[in-house]
Amino acid sequence: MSNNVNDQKKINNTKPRRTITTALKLLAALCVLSIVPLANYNIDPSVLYTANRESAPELRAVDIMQKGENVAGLKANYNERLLRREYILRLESAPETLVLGSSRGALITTDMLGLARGKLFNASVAGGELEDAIGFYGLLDMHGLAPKKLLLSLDPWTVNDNFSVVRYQESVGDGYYHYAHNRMGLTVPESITQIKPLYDPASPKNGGFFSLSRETQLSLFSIPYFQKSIQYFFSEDYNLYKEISATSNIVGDTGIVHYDGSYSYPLDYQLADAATATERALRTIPNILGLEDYDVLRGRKYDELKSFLESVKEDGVDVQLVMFPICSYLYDYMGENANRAHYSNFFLSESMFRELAAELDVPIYGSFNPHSLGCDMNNFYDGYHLRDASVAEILSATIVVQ
Amino acid sequence: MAFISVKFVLFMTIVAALYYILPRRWSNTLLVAASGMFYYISSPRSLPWLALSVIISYTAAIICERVRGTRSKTAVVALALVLDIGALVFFKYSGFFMQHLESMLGFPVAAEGAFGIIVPFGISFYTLQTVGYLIDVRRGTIAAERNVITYAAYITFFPHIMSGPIARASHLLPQFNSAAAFSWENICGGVRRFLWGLFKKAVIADTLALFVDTVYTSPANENPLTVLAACLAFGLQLYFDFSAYTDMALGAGLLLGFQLDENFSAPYFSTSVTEIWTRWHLSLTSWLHEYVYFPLGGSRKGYTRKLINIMLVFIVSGLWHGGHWGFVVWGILFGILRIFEDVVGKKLSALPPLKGPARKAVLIVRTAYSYLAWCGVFIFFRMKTITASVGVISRIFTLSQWSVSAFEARCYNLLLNTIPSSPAFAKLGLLIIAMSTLLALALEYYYVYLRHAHTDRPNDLLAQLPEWPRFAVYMFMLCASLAFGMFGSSSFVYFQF
Repeated sequence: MSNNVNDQKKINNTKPRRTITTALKLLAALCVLSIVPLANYNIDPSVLYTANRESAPELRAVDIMQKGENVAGLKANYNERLLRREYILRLESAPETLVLGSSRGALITTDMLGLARGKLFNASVAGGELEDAIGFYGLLDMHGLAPKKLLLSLDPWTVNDNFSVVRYQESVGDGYYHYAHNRMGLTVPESITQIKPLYDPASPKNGGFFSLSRETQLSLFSIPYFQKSIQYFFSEDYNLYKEISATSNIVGDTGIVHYDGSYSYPLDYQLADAATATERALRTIPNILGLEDYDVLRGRKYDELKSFLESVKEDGVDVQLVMFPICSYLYDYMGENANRAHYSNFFLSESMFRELAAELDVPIYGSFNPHSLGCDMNNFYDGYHLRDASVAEILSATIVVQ
Repeated sequence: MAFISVKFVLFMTIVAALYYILPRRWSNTLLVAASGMFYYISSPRSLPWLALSVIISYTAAIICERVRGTRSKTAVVALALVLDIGALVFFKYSGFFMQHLESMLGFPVAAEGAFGIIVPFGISFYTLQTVGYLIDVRRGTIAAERNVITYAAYITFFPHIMSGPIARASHLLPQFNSAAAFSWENICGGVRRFLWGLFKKAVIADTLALFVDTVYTSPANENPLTVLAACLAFGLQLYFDFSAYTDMALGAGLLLGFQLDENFSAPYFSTSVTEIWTRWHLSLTSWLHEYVYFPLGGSRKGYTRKLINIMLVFIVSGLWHGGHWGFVVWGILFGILRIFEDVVGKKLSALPPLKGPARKAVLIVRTAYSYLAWCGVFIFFRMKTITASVGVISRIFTLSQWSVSAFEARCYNLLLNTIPSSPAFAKLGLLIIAMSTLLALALEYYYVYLRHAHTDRPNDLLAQLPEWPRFAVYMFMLCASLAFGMFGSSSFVYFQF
């Protein structure tokens, strides 16, 4: 009997202790889990929510560019599309030459084309796709700033329907809508004209957290975004890129955005030898940018490019196309594996662009084939990006420099 | 539908909720509908083949029981087996045969792309189940299932349809005849097992895969030591990938009250390749033992015949993985190793047993040998072609180019590429991943030890731990998964089979 009473007492004593233990465990787990949204919101490597509360780096960068100086120290998470948008919105007159393309085209500078200062604006952006190009051109057109000449830097994946970065919507969606819908006659939803505010997009004055896109809202709880956040937080970039500054240098410890919108890689990136460039190229296999899933050669984007070039030509703009090579390592790798994935369409893309250029009577320069241009790994920083000197060399050898 | 996806978690939750809410008589219908939906979402074009396989084996088993005479019964089952295995051979090997036929003849015998056949999803696994079921019915060890819904639920059961475990009818089929009642123990055990698999896949297997895949993409350009490290890492990657899938399958099954077969038993703690095979992909090895090795005569027809049978079983195992010469060579090499160990083991058993430190040293050496041999043979499995595999092996043995500093530099570079942050943070990541690997290996060894010592223990790895150590493991798993888990991949190595 007494044993039963003791057991009952024990059970009664254990119950609250058990509840407290469970509550403590849950609390510890919740604390760990709550780090995810906190880090995602505050570190915010892709500038989804905060855009640096003190002041938007893009605004300060454009202030510097307007004075004709280059910009150093932009954090890796600045929004390069919004920076170029801001630049365009402050333009008083149309740029004589506009360069459009991806990060491969972003290396084209005023000097390389032998132009006078202020004659060129390079709106090429990393991961730039056809929609970005149409968006930036459309933005200029919207404000009556269409250029006299357009140099479009093509990539092998430019018209791959499966290559989609979709960063253009939040930055030049209105330009894209204006040109693609109104001028080219494409069906484009008007919703894409909602542009991300440059400063503190999640703040109530900009519509608040719930005005952000659903993907952006969900990213607050995303584990991959959390990992990106903590990796960025602990990276050297986080401390290195603290202050934006004006510079007359064209190369520096940090990447430099030039006064004309073009870009230079940081010095240590540029110092890569052929082995390092090969190493960087190797890392991109088997996910060679936008080429593994290039299953339709002439699809929707091809028609869009054709229509875009026709419309631009109708505007009286002098259009030129340029193709920069892929590094020899990746080119040969894809050659050896042409039957795998959809690399065969990579090899057909150059002739397709040439045929299109001939059909539209538009000059086309360069090649995706590094061997035909005499390039080896010494001419590259990595798998896709030529050295600045090699870009200049190809441009001067092909395009009639002014 | 990927196991590692929010979609699957939602799907699983809804199915489990309906399973316990609906009347018991609807349980199997629900499971067939859910499995059909799961299978259709994963591979819509494969569904008719699965349905056909279910109908053929179900009908053949019923007819086999009804007809009289041994020869008639055998003929019915043989016909069904020819259809079942014929479909497997057609889908998995027609491309392989045509390729070789064309290279022998020197001209194409079919239009380009004609043999780019899409292999029905999970065909290698469900075919073995139907074949095993038919043979068991023919042998009379089990009765043919009369209810087509119950039978379809057993074959198509979504937790195991993609990559097993290959469930034996005698074990799993009766579970469909007596639907489990709701039990918190099953729910908690199932969730724990599923999360354990998720942790192993996201934190260990996929991180190792980044290293292995990068090195194996172009081994000729890598330092031989790096290639050797990748070869050794692949052994771990494959184990954690496949056993993670199995854990998730077992967890999903347990949520619905089903006890699927264990597929692994801490294989890398073995002291011979032969022993690894008794602890690796258990559902396949026991299937091959039961339906290939024994019918061939097993060890009943003399020692030489036994060795030949061992070799044949491994060749069948290699072929089962697919139409590549690499798989065939993989099977032959394991056959040779198995025979070698059998012959040597027989001779060594005549010697007096070792004791004390000498015994321990020999065990360590034997464990190391087993793992090295295992990983060496798996090069053929990974590379699939003989030329590529020989290229990897010859690269490893280019001893003149072995360089520790180049190896360190490459690993450091790959690490920073995997965790693009400060070197200190990347090293912390490496430490956490290494700790996760050791923790998983140690816990699974402990679990196997407990299973052997206490057979009445519940089928739940993490529940075996005392409360606070268990909580510490949970917190470690949570932190490691959040900081370093790879949640982008949704595929498993064994999905290709």
